[in-house]
Amino acid sequence: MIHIDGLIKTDIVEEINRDRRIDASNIKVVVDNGVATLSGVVPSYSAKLAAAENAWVVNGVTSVRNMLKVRYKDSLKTPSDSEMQSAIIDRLAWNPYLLAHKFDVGVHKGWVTLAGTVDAFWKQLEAEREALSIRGVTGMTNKIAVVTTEDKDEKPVDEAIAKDIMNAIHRNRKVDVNDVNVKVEDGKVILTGKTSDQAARLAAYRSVLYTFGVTYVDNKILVG
Amino acid sequence: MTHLKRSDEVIKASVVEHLYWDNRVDASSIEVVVDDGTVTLIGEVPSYQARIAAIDDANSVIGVTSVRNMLRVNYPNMPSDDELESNITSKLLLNPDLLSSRFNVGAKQGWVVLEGTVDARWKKIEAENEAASVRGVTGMTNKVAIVTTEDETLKPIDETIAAGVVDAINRNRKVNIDDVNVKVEDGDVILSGKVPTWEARAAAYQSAIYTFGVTHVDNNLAVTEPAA
Repeated sequence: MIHIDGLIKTDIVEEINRDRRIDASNIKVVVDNGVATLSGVVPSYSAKLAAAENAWVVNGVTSVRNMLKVRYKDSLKTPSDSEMQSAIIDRLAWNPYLLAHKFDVGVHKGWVTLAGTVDAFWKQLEAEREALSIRGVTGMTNKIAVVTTEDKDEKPVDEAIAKDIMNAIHRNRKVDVNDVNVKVEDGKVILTGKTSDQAARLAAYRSVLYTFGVTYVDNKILVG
Repeated sequence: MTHLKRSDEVIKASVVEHLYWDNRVDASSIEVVVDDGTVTLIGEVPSYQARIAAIDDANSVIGVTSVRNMLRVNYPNMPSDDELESNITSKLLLNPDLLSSRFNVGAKQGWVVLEGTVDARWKKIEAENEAASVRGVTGMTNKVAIVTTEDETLKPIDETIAAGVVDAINRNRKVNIDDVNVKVEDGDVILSGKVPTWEARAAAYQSAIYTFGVTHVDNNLAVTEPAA
């Protein structure tokens, strides 16, 4: 495994270096038994996420631990906490998927805290994406709650959610339904199994994400 | 995965189910027509994001060979074009990846035209994604130009770019480099050849767009996967 880990590491480093979104000069990569750990400093939160994305596509990687720290370059004007806060509030209010929901946005030294209630897990992620795409973000705590419906009679049962998910995966040409196991508990979904590639893993994940009633997704699908 | 060829009726039923399944899309005003695997979506959706999600849904259904999108976007409370322009402009201004870029944003009855210059293809796409998630957008023309660097001496030559793209494809587990021909002309990359799956085709494209010096990618890769 040691030999293979060395090869995986070289590939990850090259992949990150090639990616123009990332200033990789202060990134350290360690690979242990297929598990890649990224540490060091990057100049934006989006670069941090992009670096992990790159590690994922490399052959042999089974999981990625992202320990990168974000430090914006001094030469660029970083907005103040209150400027960031009002920019995030605007973005959430302009987004057609989110505008019906109320959010509380807090920013402290670049660390963003989101709170509020949405009716689907993917909306929680969409709110997070909007908040992350502004300059100055160093980290994020997403406390947005997911409540599918307040009406007990309208709340989908776990069996119905599981059935919807399996049907969606079955229709999708990008993933084989036999490769994936789905478990639903009170709207929370755990995905397990093994797919041939990252695209199939992503397709399975999206099939869960956009199903009505899903309040959380834990994607444990392995690739390879 | 091989599938028996599906009839248009079966494909249509599957696409309709998929649109109703997708929590992002209100499918009640979407009409689906299928002719020999080609799906046409007609009707109305409440946002530009939903329009894109609907195409994506149709595209991922087994048996679909291509999608024609004739959906119209109709917002309940349409903001003015001025408001739309200023909202998009302020999003672009604060984006950490688009710092060094300047944009002109024009809107006419919700149809957004993006202009300006960036130094990489992915930034052009990032700008479009930022604009796409603003209420009031009904359509988009992305005219943002890509200029890698103004300094001629720093500009990577096509051979270097090609080598970078080939290396990146080679490292990517989803696509076999032997299946792909890479040609670079003044920063524009042309991918050709035959790959076994749609995933491999997408992976080759992804490998190319994030490579230094790339200004445009023409993905001419053919997929040999049986059309379900």
